[in-house]
Amino acid sequence: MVIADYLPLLVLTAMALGVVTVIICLAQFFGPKNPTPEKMMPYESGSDPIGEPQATRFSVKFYMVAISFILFDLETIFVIPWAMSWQDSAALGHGLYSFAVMAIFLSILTVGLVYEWSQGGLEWD
Amino acid sequence: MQLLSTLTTLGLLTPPEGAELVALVPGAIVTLVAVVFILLDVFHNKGTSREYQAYFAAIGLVLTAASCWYLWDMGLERPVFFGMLYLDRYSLFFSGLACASAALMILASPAFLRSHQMDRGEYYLLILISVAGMIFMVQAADLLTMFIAFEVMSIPLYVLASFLRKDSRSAEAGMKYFILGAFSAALMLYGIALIYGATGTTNLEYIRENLFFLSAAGASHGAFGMVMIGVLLILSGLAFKVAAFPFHIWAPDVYTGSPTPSVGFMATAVKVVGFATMIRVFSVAFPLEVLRGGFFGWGWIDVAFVFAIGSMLLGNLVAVTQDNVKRMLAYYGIAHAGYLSIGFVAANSHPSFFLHNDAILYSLTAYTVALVGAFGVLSYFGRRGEAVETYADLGQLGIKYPKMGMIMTICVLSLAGVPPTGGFLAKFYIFRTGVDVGVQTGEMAFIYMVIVGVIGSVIGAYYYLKVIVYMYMKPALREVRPLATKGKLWALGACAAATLYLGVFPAKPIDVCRSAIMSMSGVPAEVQATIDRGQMELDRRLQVDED
Repeated sequence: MVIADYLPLLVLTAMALGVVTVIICLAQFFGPKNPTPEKMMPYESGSDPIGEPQATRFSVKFYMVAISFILFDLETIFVIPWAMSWQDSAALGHGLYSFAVMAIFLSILTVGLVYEWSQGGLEWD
Repeated sequence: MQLLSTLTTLGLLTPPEGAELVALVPGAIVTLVAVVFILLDVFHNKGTSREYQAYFAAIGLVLTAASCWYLWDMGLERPVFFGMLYLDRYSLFFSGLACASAALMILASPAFLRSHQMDRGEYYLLILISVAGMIFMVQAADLLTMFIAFEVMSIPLYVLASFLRKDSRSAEAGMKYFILGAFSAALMLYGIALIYGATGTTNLEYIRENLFFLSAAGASHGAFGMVMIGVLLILSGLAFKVAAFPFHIWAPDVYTGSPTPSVGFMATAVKVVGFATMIRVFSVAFPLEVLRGGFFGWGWIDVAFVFAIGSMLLGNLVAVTQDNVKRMLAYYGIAHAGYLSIGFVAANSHPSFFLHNDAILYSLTAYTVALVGAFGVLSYFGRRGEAVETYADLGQLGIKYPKMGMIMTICVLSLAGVPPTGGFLAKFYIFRTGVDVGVQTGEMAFIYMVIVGVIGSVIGAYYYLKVIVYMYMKPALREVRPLATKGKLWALGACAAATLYLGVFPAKPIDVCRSAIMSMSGVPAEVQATIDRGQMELDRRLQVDED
């Protein structure tokens, strides 16, 4: 492994920084500006960022969001490596098998989503 | 390294052979039933009874048990999926037992849940998922498979414990079970990590081989310290699940607070699976003399010895002072873990006694049907969302509801160990194992253990007969209503019938237990020699019978 192998990483970092800078600058120069007190607050997922910790309680609704997040986050963790290695799998002639296994996994997760939906987990109110 | 990782990738991308997939059948059926159950629950017509869901889940579990029966002669020599799962009669036996316990308790549940205003489909779903974990746990050929299955089994149980969420005792039960269970699981995982650190593998058979290699290469006694700590941590994690003596603290509170039918499931199926895993893991992976110990060389046999003595003394003595029947049954569960530990210590103290493990299998079967029956009868009575729990609540119930009285009497007599019930023979076999091994080795510790066990059973007779006395001879203190469904009556009748069957016609069940223990795959060569000798003797005896 030589240092040149890390060049793509450097390029990625540079591009990420560049894109962020460009977006912020564009918003700064061209965006409409009519500030209200709410808009000026730091963003804290809807709860009041300044004040006594005991006085402001989290809404229990966030917990449903967190659970759904974990569900789909785990799904991603399993699906991405599968997608990366599917070509190798297909090259060995097991493409259909590999696809069937992932289809079973996804269908079980989908049943979970259907359940969550029916229990009202996807509605905010 | 590059080559190795390429090979592993190749291995992972290659589908298992068709024959290997057979090992998944029982687990897959339960999982499929659970997934279909979710959809059934989603399309449930709100406000109508959910009794049919109980029948659906129970039929699914019966199908699973039937598949275990069907696969009985189709065991595989080698573990499948790169050494992850065994398929042998041993695992099928325990899978079937766990399914039976779950199916009976599910049938006993609907009316109880309705009277507590918690008639939710999730209850059955949690039991189904837990059973799926149990099935994979008894099949596990790798510590990691075992741990994942262990968690799949445990997490639904924590939720089940707190299922009556409006009842503060149930919430307390769930919380206690969850926190302590999470700790014990973490300790067990740490133990697995230590074993992996010492041997470089998590596969049970490779662990054994690597440990033999290490000891042959001249690793000193002290060098096994890390392995020993790992072994003890794994043992303590399993001992927590079966509620053995120093890890029993959670059991009484959790059993009292949880919904009664689910306690029947927790107290039986989890104990069954815990002991099954204990026998498998310790006889397959850690048979090395240094680790095994045996009467104060301080190996795992000595630790199990302490579990046995402590559980029997504490369980039986504390059970006497209880006035709550569920709590009494919890302490009896602790005592019973002690009785089973007698069998575990005696049968695994030397490879040549391995076949004595069949006493544990038989005892677990008898205990399961009797305890499921007892909890089923307790959940049969109730009034306005209040469960019948204390001895005083039971007053006159045996006379008012003769069928229930009969079933409770049979189950309780079996738990107390009175002939002609299964419980009597179960205790007899366990004690005989201890005495037999004690006589053959001349080691008095086995005999002392049995003496403590016998004294414990005498104490046990007192608090079990008390149940019968209250049911027939004490006045009724408050009015209770039956929470009857047809399925429940059938399930409880089946428990009582099975208890009597195990006691009166024990030959067939004992044969099944023996053939289960004799087919255990992955055992070390010395144990295999014992099994082969036993098989030869059995064949010879059959030959004589035919002539």
